[in-house]
Amino acid sequence: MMTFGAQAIAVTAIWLAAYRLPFSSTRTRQRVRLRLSSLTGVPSKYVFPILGTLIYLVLGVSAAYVLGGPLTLLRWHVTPHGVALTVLAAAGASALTAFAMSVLYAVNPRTDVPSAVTGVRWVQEILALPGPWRWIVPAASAAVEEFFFRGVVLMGLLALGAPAWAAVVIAGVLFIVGQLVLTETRAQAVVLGLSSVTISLIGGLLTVVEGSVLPAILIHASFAAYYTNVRRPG
Amino acid sequence: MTTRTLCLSLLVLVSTAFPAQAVRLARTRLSPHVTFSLALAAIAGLAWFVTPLRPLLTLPFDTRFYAIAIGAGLAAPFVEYVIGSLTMRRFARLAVHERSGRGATALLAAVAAAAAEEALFRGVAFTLLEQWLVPAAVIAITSVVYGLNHLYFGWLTVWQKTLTGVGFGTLFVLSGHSLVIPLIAHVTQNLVVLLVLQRRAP
Repeated sequence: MMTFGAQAIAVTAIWLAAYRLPFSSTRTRQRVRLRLSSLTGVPSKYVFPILGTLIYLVLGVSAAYVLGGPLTLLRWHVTPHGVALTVLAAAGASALTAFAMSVLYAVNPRTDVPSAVTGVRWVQEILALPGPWRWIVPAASAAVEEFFFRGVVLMGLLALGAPAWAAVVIAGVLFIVGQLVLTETRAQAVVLGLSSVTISLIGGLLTVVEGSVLPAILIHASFAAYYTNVRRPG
Repeated sequence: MTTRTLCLSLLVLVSTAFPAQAVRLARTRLSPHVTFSLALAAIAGLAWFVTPLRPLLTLPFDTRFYAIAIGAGLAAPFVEYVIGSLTMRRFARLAVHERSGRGATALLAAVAAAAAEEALFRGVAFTLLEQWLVPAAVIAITSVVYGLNHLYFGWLTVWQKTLTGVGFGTLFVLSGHSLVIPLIAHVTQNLVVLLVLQRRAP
């Protein structure tokens, strides 16, 4: 179990480092953007949204493969109870996040949640995409993240005999740290951190109850799309 | 208790803690208070369906409980008013927002919202939390969460609703866990606010 935990941490670190580091400098980004744009004919503003998403998804799927997560984690015995619980959990995830944001406003009325969200680099990139892609891209990334963290890591830990609370916490902390790494300012970290805590808690508990990662994927996918469709005030 | 039951209980508790917040995400063509009541009722219905509940709709034999419930409901708006006045150190005229509806839809929405809040904060939350905690602790926790659920009205409303929550929770426990008693109090409170109080511009 310790070995599996260490492997999960290492694989997550490699996933995020390989996604983040090669394009951390603005100059490299600009060069890659122009090069790929002239090679493929894709408008330069779409280069990073597409390339970034592809790299992120491929790395995520590889991470799941390396840790040995089978697709059977997706198998869900659908019952009316399970469907109702998933809908309730989806409403709960929205409600908890909205509550966390209203606490931020109540504590500091100058908090600007929409700007913090739209300032995050991956959100910014997705916002450059046209129409339906603003839903599809974040939903796909969210599905892969959820399959890895709640499916491969959490259910893997459970299968190895870890107590449910430990599995939920370990998978959650890995996911939350991963999201924080992708932020640049304190405001971004607070907003994304709080929503990651919510998604980890709700998704983790739901995965344990349903014995499948599919419900958590559905919730996270609908949730991520909400953030990239936030409108800037004014 | 199995791990699954434990996780189910926790999931329902965290998912139903702040039902009023989900309303802010809903974009419908219906009026705000109808949307609010419908969303609240939907969440309460789902929570009721997925939680293994004991019978909550029992009717206490002791008729005094019904009288106490109506009395508490009549008193609640004034108690909240006194807390508000003491906090703000000025006694404004007791009134509600000029745009609060008075029609049948507004009344039905108010009754539905009260029923949904009681089903969630007294019915579901008490059933789940009393697996681990004594009634006094459950009253305290559910009241604070019930208060925080009104945070978008400001901190004053949180205090007012926390206190009202203690009242409803106490009625629920004393009546032998009959949801009907705090429900009567809550509906009475909402009807007093909508039907009796004067309208005034903020």
